[in-house]
Amino acid sequence: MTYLKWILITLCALFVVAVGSGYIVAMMAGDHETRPDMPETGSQKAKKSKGSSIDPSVMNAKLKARLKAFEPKGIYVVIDTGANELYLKKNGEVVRRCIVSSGSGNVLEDTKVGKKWVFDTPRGEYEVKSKAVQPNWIKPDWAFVEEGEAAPKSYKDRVEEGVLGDYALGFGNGYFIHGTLYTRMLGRNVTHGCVRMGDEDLEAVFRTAPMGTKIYIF
Amino acid sequence: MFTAFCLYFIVSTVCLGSGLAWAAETPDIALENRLLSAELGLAKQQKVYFIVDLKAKKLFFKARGMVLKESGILGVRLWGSAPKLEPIELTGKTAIFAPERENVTPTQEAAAPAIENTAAPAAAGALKKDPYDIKALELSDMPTTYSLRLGDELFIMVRPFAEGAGMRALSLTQKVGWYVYMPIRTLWMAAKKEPVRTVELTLSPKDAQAFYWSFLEGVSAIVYMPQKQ
Repeated sequence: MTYLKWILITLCALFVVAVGSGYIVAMMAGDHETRPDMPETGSQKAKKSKGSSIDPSVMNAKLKARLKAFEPKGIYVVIDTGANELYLKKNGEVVRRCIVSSGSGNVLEDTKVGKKWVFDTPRGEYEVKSKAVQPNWIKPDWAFVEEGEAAPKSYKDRVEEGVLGDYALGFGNGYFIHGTLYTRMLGRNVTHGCVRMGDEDLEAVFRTAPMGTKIYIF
Repeated sequence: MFTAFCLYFIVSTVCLGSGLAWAAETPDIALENRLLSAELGLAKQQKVYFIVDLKAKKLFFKARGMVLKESGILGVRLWGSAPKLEPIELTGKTAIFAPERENVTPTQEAAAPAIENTAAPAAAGALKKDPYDIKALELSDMPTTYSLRLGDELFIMVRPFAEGAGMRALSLTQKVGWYVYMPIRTLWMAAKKEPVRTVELTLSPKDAQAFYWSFLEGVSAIVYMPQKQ
């Protein structure tokens, strides 16, 4: 019993030493600063070297103005691929909220030719590059691979009508905002990367967003 | 004597741990100017970025200087010194139950469920919560507990807000355990030459999943910490 007690005390002591060492290492790691003088960014160093002595509140207003200048003017689109929501916005205010479907995140591999497709909706800033009414779907290679078929050589064998809804807005690299036959799947991640919308919402977005409208996807 | 020793150990580790915590700060316009300067660089890019504002306890999804989405941070714990107030890129995510992509086998219809499913699902009685079993990566597949590594600077550990008596008891255990776990983790990370600074964020489960979903490798964040005076 005495031995057990001493073993436990020794283990506890070693544990305390380990924990204490951890605190010391944490305090030593980096600068444990107590003054408000944070490491400066490159632009701040450049300003200092120019002998700038602008009042901080004036600088604050200038910086906020510069940041505000990056914001899009007028109409823009925000797509939340996690929540499957699309917001049509104007000057920061929501004009319309829509339920959409975005990329499934699935992976398709064609082992015969060693090609791989990942069905994600791309993230970042884009813009409306094309607009079409009654668009036809020009089936890409993956659509045939997915069905276990060989991709056709003829262009006209790739054309499929009536599956993209009444309108389509292209935002580059083959991605579109378009309609869908599968309206019950709106709100789910079921597409190959495009953004699918219900008919009414799609028409509203199509009529409101001109070419060049910014689209922000996250 | 043994009991007294254990009590002393527990009290001393809690006191030491408290010493490493940062106090809440009054607004500091110079610090805010540095945040804005740092953000300007990110706003020039065509990418979404994040601001983790530990002073306002908000998580901002931003692009071009404007807020796309805002989430509340329900709890914050800090370990180590403040990171530099500049954009840091996400270089890795770790989760026990990390989601995995589905591999589509050719001849399966991956994205188009059978059209007969468009009929009303309520025909036979109570509605099923999810009448369509789709194979896809969705928000609900994302973990609520995970760790994010930002460059060589910082780890962000995300935990879900505890709801229910059982989860609150677990959360309390985790809170106390933090003061023992973090120093030992520090020794381990220092030995591996990994970052020691850690920020633990408590988010609602949904916000935790949304953050994991949107914060991809290669995307940058700025962690805005209050400064000790």
